[in-house]
Amino acid sequence: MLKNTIIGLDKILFDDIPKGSVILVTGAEGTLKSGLVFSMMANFLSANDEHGLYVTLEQNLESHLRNMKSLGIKEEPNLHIFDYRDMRQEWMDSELDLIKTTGEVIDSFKEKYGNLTLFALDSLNALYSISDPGDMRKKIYNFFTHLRDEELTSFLIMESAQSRMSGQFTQLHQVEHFLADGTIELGMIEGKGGVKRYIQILKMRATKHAMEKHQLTIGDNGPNILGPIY
Amino acid sequence: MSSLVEKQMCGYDLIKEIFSSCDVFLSQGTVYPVLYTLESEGLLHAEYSKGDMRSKKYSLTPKGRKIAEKEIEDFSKALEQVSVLLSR
Repeated sequence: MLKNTIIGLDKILFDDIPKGSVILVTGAEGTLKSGLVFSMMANFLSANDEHGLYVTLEQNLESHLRNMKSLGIKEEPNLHIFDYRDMRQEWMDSELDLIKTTGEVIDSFKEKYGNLTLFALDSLNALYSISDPGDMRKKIYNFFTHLRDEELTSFLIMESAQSRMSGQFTQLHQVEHFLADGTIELGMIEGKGGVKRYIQILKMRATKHAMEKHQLTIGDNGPNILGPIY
Repeated sequence: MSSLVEKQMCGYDLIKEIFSSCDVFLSQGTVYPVLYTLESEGLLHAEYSKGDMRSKKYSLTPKGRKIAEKEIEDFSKALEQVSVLLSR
């Protein structure tokens, strides 16, 4: 389904990601999280008669598309982008339950486009920062369940500059890592040739994958994956 | 859409209007995606009001107005028929 959407993705993903999987895409600022996810979705949808929904809480539609264009990623008509700018400007945060609202937004698009198969949320951190922290674990569990019930292959972007130390995730993000079917980590590493971006699959249930860090670059048409970084 | 026949409204205005006139609270997650979709289909036009960049006001395009008026007409006819049936 997705392993041929990015040049070189088959170097790290030997099988396809099962439909309906919930994948966390983590990494620090500037590691291409949004670009990688958007590119995978756009490329998949350009070759398949299906629909996708990309929900952004951090950027508005215009700014997100501008950023994607600067990475060489083309806009895809079947990839619908929903931003929360208007909603957040017109309503007080206390009047919005964004986890519940995101579920309703998915339902609306699913009803409109029956074959909605891909979903992305950019980002979980932004969702948390404006959500009532009470009973968050249960809300997140219900949200993941909703994504699976709808059989959406989902990418949840999570900025995690300080989250992984000594191979362990901080308690803050343990719930998501435990619940997710897969975790893709993006990062930067300094070597002899300077700073390089990398991609590493930390976990992918029911899918054979490489464990090594591979170099991630920007080509003419968006992100590309090169060989392993040693 | 029929609420937009008479005046421009933002998502917030629409939800409040529907609540006050029909006593039904449509959630934000239901209303805003519909507005976005109707805009992308060319049935609604959206603009930020001068001096109030906070609210994106929606109005019907000529194509949207035509559809809304037709829907209102069809609904009124259906309502008349139901009234006739109920009064028998």
